[in-house]
Amino acid sequence: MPLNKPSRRLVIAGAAAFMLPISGRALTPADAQSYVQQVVDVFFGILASGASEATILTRFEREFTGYTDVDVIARTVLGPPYRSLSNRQKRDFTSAFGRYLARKYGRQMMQYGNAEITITRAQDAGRKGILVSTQVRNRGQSPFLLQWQVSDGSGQTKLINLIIEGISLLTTERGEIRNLLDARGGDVSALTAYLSTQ
Amino acid sequence: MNTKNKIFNWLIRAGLVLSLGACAGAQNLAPDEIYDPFESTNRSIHAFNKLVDTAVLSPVSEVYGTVVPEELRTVVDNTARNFGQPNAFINHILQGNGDGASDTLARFLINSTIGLAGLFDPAAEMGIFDAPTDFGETLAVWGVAEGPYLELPIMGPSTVRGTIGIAVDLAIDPLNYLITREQAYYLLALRGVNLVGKRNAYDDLINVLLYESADSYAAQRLSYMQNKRFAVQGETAIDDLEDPYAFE
Repeated sequence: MPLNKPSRRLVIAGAAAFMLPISGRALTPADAQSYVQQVVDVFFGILASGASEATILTRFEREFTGYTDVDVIARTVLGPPYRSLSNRQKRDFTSAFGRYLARKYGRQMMQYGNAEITITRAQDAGRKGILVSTQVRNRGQSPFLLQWQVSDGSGQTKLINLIIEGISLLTTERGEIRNLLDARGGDVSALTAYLSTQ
Repeated sequence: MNTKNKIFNWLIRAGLVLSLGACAGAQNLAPDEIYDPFESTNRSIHAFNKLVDTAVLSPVSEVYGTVVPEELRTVVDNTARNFGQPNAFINHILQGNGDGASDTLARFLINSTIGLAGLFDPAAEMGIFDAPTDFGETLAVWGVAEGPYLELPIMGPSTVRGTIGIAVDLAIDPLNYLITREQAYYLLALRGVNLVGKRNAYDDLINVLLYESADSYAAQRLSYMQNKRFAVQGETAIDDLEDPYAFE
């Protein structure tokens, strides 16, 4: 069909024009820094709210999954087994994993609810996004380094990793998920069921 | 021994270690690669350590956290840390880390005086924070490879390099040459109490690792190695960051 050609070209050109502003303006360290500041305010506001643990974790889960690219983290942490899942299995795993992640890290961060958090640095890591460093200082304890890897790789600015004194969430959870999966004979549905009870 | 002999003795030991370190080669692994040829022995020791934690350390630390007020726990932690500063200072010097050495020295001088023999930590209020290090890290700076992963009884995760470091630290710690035998026992007791205090302070983190992981041995090994490599590098290398969008 002769008519099809120009229209298809038009669609591609239109799409390219639409995408230009996004690829043309990459995330800057300053953007990432203000994003992290916002995340810190929201997260630690909830953690220090003084509500019951159950309430805090429910609210934290909602915000954490909003500010974090749970899709890409779930995919990279599960690794090759992710590819052979049905769309429904992918969706179920991702949502159970997001809940598990939010609750696990929410509980660990809770004891730092009243800590003083200062942004110290923002480094451009190219394709890997921006690494924003924060110093966390709890009363009577030595400060430690908490780093937030921020990327707009999905089209939206999101957190893609947390690194606590060198301990990376992605690396740690990849190990943990692999062990949990091995213990279930590689059955991702059983893993999903387990994660949603956590 | 008089002071001159003590210093001489110390220099000999330090020199011996220096030449030892210079002989060893370096070998680097990817961030998630761990060399663990002694895994089965390590796992047995891990099971033992976990048992000690469940039966003794965890319950004792819980009592410690309940009975001892927070202020006193902080005092114990400050004092134990202050006694560790001379050794950290020596290691910063051996690593050629001027900032680490001057911060450590400043902390020791300030906290030993204004901080009442280390009971308090006014240096931290002035923005001079603790920069802990050990001889295992010194060996790393000298290019000695970490070697196989080891889990030590009671002391927990380490590597061959870290274990040599622990032994050398005992030998080169200037404090050991300045205090009496009786004082050494008190120091050991203080460090023991502080271990209980640390178990209490990091209760949530340790419980997640030991009792909520699918495989606590593997989880602890991975956390330790990531943290140790970070401590040696002094920062998170941008090159080591992941690009999760690369996996489709």
